[in-house]
Amino acid sequence: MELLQEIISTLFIILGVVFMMIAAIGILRLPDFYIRMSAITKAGTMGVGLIVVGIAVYFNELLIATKAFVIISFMLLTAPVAAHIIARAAYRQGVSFWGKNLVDELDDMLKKRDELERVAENEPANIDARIKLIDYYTGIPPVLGGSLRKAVLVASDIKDIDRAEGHRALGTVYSLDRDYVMAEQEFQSAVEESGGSGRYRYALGQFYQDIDWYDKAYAIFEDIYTSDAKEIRALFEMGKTAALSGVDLEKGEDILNRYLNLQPPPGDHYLSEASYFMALIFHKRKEFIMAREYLGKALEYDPGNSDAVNLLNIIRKK
Amino acid sequence: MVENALYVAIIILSFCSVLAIVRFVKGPTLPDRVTAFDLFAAIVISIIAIYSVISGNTAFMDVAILLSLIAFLGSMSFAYFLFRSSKDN
Repeated sequence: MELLQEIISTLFIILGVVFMMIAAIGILRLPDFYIRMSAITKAGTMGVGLIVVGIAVYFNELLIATKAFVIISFMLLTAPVAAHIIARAAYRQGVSFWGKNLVDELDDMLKKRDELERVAENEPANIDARIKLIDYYTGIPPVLGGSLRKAVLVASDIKDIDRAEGHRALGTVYSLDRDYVMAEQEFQSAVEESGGSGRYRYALGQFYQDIDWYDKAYAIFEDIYTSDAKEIRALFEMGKTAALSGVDLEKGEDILNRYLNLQPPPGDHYLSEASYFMALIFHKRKEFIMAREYLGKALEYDPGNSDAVNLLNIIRKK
Repeated sequence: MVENALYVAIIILSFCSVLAIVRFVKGPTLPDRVTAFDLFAAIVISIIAIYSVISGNTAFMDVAILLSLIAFLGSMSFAYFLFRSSKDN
């Protein structure tokens, strides 16, 4: 019995030593820092773990087994953290790759940002580049260079060129920052500055929709539609708001029906979504057969409508 | 027989630590040296653990636990230092 125990523990230890050897050869021979790092983190942890397990088997005592468990769990916790942090610091320092890797997404993003910043600086009138820059700053986490403060600065720059557009951009940034009071003010001043232009009214309505303030959103879209009956997008948005709020589903159904019966041009972006929201209304009323029918239509218009696919899966599960 | 196998294991691990030291000396960058040091610490932990079997003294396992803690703190502080020094440029 004792002999068997010793043999098993020796096998574990030898296996661990082999892993350590792989790690040591890896750190000496592999071509660049990041690959070497992966070699020692994985093989090194495995090696230490196996050796310690072998020792726990050899002593066959609860105390030693506990100590072995502590060492292993500690290695498993700290090795990935340390590797991640050192690799990130190395990347920040500009430690180079070995030249044969194909993808470096962070570098691509930073280059894109530098390009946008350069354009924004050199062409003061270029609003497009600035809006893209705001999207960039707000779309990525702060470690990668995202910054709401910078986004606000760029939006204020836009305000010097085009007041309404600047207010709209500021509103977007504030609503991403969850500062809805400021955001509402900015969107409203955008509408005022533009003299009630449709584009900014839609932006205000969509903002209300996003923060689930459906009465206000509905009022705004209704206002757009009554002032100009050609604005069938407003009709769609009215139906969407009603479907989302779920307060007056009959009205939503009626409006969306009117929209679908108006027969917008076949390539219309909102056709698929209108069918989806129709299905959502029927889903909320628990009329699943009708909901399925409209989901089928929505996917016919746009097979890539992910909301429709999700709802269809939910209905199928029932 | 088991004893001999353990001595061989320690010899191989010592050879591995020489390889890690070669990388430590060669560099070429500071992160390389930090990871080489990390591996060196892991090897020393393994050697101490095996030595606790050879000597029969289980107190060496506590040393191994402590050393793994200190190795982690060491590489953490180096990473922090790297961050601080890369922010300037």
